[in-house]
Amino acid sequence: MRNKKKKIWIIDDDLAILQCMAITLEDEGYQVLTFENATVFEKAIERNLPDIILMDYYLPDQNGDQLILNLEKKKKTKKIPVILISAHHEARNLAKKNGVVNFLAKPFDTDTLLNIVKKNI
Amino acid sequence: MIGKVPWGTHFCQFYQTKKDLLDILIPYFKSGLKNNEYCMWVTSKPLNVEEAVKRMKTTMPDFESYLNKGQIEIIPYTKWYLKDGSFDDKRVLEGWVNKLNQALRKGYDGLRLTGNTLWLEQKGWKKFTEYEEEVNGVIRNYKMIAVCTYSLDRCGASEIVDVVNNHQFAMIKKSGHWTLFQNSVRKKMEEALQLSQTRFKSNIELTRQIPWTTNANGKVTEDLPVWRKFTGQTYEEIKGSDWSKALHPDDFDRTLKIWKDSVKNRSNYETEYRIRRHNGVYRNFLVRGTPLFNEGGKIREWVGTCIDVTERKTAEEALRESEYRLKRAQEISHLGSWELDLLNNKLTWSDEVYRIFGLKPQQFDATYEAFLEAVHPEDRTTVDTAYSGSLRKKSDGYEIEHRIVRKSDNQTRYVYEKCEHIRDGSGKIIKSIGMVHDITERKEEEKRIEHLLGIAHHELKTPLTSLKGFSQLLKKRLAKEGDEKKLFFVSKIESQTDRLVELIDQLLNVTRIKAGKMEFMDDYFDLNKLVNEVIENLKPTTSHKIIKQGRKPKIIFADPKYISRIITNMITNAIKYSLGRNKIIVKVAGEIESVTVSVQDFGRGIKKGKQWVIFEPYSRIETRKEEKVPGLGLGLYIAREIASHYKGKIWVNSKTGQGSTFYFQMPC
Repeated sequence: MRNKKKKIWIIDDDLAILQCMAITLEDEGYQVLTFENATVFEKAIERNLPDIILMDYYLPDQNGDQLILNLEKKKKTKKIPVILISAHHEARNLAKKNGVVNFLAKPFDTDTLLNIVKKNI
Repeated sequence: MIGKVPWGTHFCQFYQTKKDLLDILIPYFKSGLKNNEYCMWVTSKPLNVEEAVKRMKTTMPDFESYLNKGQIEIIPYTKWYLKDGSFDDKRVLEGWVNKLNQALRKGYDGLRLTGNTLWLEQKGWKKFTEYEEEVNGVIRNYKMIAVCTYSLDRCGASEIVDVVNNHQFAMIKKSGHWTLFQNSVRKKMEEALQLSQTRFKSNIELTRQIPWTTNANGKVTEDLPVWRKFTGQTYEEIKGSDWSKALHPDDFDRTLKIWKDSVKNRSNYETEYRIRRHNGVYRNFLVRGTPLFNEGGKIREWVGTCIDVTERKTAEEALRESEYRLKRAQEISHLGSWELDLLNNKLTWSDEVYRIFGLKPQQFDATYEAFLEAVHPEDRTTVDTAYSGSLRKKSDGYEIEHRIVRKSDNQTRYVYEKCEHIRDGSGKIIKSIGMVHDITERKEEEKRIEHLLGIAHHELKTPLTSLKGFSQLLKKRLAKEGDEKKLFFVSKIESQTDRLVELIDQLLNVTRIKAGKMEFMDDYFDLNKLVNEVIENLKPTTSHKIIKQGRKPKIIFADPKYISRIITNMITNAIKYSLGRNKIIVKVAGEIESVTVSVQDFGRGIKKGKQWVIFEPYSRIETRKEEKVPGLGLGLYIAREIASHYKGKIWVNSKTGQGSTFYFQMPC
């Protein structure tokens, strides 16, 4: 049963947001792993693969679009759905330009978060 | 025929008999005596003095009295032409002038004379001819009339030609009648002179010139009536160098120096000075003079004109002043102006444009292409498209913001350009004029503010994201536990968080609108569906009943996020401003090329005078204290800006006490 839980990885430099999202998603039965920066995340993805990635656009060590580009380069990661999250309106436009259709504006309703995850996982 | 003739007339008579002479001379002198002229008759064979007196007496009964009075002198040629035994042209000429002056002093009007030439020997002919020529040349300047009598029998053909040439008229007897004939060449010359004098005079009058003449030394010795009329001076007041008293004191020394130098150097004279008019007002004159030389190369006199250039001068000064002001204004505001002549691709820049582009006139080709060269490489196509496009579309002009690379230091600068096209009579664009404004500093300031706002926006929203997230988590848990009271508290936290988010978004949007930095992600969507979604979202937050009318899908192309903002704003306003009423009607209606969303409330309404104010930023409708409505007063302003971006409209119909209907129209 535990093995069937869908794995969600979240990258955001704000700890409170990470916690809030993690709890919301765990309450719904997802297995959640959180990362505070892109470097740690990229190391982890070498060893393991999530079912969906939620990432903040502006990260301390890298921008979201660069991270997406890196994921798309690798065969094993390129099919993982990515949802960009940002308080910046520009980030949504940038995401669209880069072909990322899934965008969630901060602050969001927890229901919206759950819907978008459910739709893309 | 010879009674009343003008002063300066010099004519000759060819005679054969004594009777011929008397035919002419008797009435000639009779008329002179009656006209108060001094008369002088120099006789020669075939008529002597006695016979002349006798003949005069018989035809003029009161001749004796004239003779006694001394008004007429009849003398033989030996006492005049050959006074000292030989003919001396200078002495004779001076003699006439002296006689005239004496006559004038005695109160006579002038001198009327005749001289017979029968005494002339062939060898003296040449000298006498020269004398006659000189008389003919100067007699116009004197109050003198002269008849020279020549014996036809003594004159050969060449002598006749000489005589006729040296006189204005010749009299000769033709088939028993005296006829007067004029040398045709002379006549033509005189007519031409007359005509040219008339033209000259009209020219002088028309161009408001003042002609002047001085002697060789630059002194005024002749009357200058036009000058006097202008300055109001008398002849006595302009004599010598006194005319210069009418000059402006500040121009006096300078003018006199130039004048003296010209006289000294015998060179043309040109200067400008102010002359005081008879009414005391000074006017500006352009003054030119030139020396006239006699045959020996000596200056005979100076002639010149003063041309009134006051209007030109005033206009020039006004022009200079306004050009200077414009130049300073351009410098101060970093705003330059340009003009492009499309017929010859000639671009004219004001000094400030050169400064903005960091170019010197000699470095710039002054063509459209040379301008494009100075535009930032990445903006070149956009700029060219804007300009060429506006010409192609035959529009009235265009405006654009773009970057340039300042040549002097290779710095990237921001400019704003606005251009207008000028057309000829047929409507063809022949010229473009425009202005260019260096807005680099403003642009950099805007960027700084925007950057700061972006940071503030992000930093404010981040804690709000987790605040909202945790509130919602808590709400879920409490819902499971069934604690209604706690659930109510948390809902309040959540809705206040939403309000904060909304305020932050509004502030950011206003800044973006003002900077022209709104980013739109346009897509096709159903406006009707969007309105329904907005209503659904708002329903839980209000006790108002929102009635929706209109069901048909209305597809528009726009950014749904912004359109949803407009609709939300309209409905929340309706709720806020109709507290105590419980109904709001939202209607989506399609027209031919547009769709209109209207939101009707039944609240207080808006006074007519306030209806336009509500679309201005930070405007609030004054409310009674107990009905204070929260908000920044930005909602409708943002809505209007978004609407106008899509060439849509937003407006209100309202009646105090009955409520308001807000309309939002989008083209589709």
